[in-house]
Amino acid sequence: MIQFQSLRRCFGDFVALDSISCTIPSGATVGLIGPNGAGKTTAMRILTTLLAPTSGDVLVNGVSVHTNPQEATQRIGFMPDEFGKYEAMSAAEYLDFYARCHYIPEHQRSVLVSEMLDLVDLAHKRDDAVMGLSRGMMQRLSLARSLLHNPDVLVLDEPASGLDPRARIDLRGLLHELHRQGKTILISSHILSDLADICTHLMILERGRLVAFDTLDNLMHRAHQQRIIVKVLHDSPLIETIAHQQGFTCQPHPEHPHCYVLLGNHDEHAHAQLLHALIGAGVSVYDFSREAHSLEHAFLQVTSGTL
Amino acid sequence: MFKRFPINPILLREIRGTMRVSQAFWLLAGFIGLISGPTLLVYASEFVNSPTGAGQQSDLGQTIFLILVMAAILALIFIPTVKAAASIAGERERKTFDLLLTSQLPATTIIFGKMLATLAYCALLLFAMTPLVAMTFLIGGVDLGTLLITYFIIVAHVVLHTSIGIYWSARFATTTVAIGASLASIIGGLLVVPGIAYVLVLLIDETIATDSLTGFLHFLLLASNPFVVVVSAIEAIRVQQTWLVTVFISGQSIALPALWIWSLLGCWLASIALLYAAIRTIRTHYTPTTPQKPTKEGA
Repeated sequence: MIQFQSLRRCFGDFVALDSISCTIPSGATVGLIGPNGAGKTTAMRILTTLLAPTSGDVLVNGVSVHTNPQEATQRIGFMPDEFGKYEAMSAAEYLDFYARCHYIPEHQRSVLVSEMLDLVDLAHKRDDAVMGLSRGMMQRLSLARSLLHNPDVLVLDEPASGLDPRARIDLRGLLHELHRQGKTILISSHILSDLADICTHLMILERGRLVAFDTLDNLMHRAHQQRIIVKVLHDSPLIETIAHQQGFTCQPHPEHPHCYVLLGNHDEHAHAQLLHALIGAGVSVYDFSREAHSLEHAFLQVTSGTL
Repeated sequence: MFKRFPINPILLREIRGTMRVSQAFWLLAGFIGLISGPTLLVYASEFVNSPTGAGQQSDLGQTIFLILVMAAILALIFIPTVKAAASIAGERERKTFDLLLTSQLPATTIIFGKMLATLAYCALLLFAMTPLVAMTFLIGGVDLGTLLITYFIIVAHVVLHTSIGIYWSARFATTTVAIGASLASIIGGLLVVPGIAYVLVLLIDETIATDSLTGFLHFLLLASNPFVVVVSAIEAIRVQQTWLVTVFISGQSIALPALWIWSLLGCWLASIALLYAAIRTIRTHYTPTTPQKPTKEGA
């Protein structure tokens, strides 16, 4: 469990994080999203003990990252957005080095390194130089490194950045596996379609403030109820009138003729009544659908304040 | 038995990393070339003069030894400084420093790992010059005491220069700036401190006119310069004042430890202070560069 407690971080006059409070349950996979400069990286750096908060705290399974960073780091595995690598080091040596840095005893290290390489499907590359690995392989190796000390919480900063589609699919598979193992995962990513596939929760930051934190299902459900697309054979002023009567706002679709966008926070019954009223008034409706919203749409609605 | 004392992982990685690339061996070859070149020139020049007497042989041995040590000090001022200055700043540039900070390693282990790795390489350089030093024994004029004291002085200054490099490396984010600051500190120490000593002597001479005090101050400030310290130590041994020197303060003669002892003491104390400051610097939460300003872009 990760508890953000009124977390605030300022850089001079600039407030990078402003009173962030939320509790991420154990075993959740949380997507941390927001526009550039929203405070995602700052939040992650505080969580991983790399940066001190100006005020507030983050507790990882009850351990403060601010007052007890040494113990907190035992519970956190961190995968930064850029893969830090050393020259003249093989993949197995790379993992062995970080296992030493976590004081994993020698008799466990070689077995652990082999297991981690197997987990990320790099066993065949164990003696290859790290510098020669592809970006996807490096990301997987970095993920293996972050898992060496068996942390409860994984913090992944842009793990899919720069990966080809195949590598992204592989990474998603790995994250699903880690979720099944009960790890609490916090992922920052700009690839929202990937997050939609992986995450159980979403945490949306904008200008340093937490504008939404909910399960993915709830956020998507709320977004789904917003937009109804009505397509008609012939335009009619009745559409707008009936929509208003039923509590919806109505606008012609900006791109498609004979098409209307109806906005309103109503349930399925209200949608059925609206359709019934339109047809009853003789409007030639040939398509009536809730727009198939994506996570991108939910994100845009949240950050524009309409959700 | 050794398993009870696990090797510092940073030290192990640094040594492996250093010795696996050809630069380490080119640098070693360059070092040997630097110290043996002038030595060979002096030896050849003296050989032309064909010294035959025991006294002349002894002088030749001392001259060669001095040239050898001076060249070694010159190299060992810059090599550990640059290597140490690149150590932590280099981790930041490679984006590996955050990974170390989020591991279980305390700041002390990181700093000492970097420090010992630099010292280990310098130990290799010192070991590599042993055959050349041994030659001076064959020629004569240098005893074991001189050799040991000279090595003590070199080692103390290598530790100091490494500490200076480590300190600036912990302070700055880029290797170039850390190396620049380290070299500026060391060159400043070598050139500016003796300059200050000279100016102080002039000022105090004119205002207080106490030769003994100015002499002592001058003496202490010169202890920061390894070249001066080595020459002074060799001279002290020659005049049989290896451990103590006599100075006159307020008309009384007082025996004080020799300059090389002050130098060793100063080096060790300054090194401890610098390493402590470096540990404090990276123990404090690492602050990244200014964060991105908010943009209107979507995620």
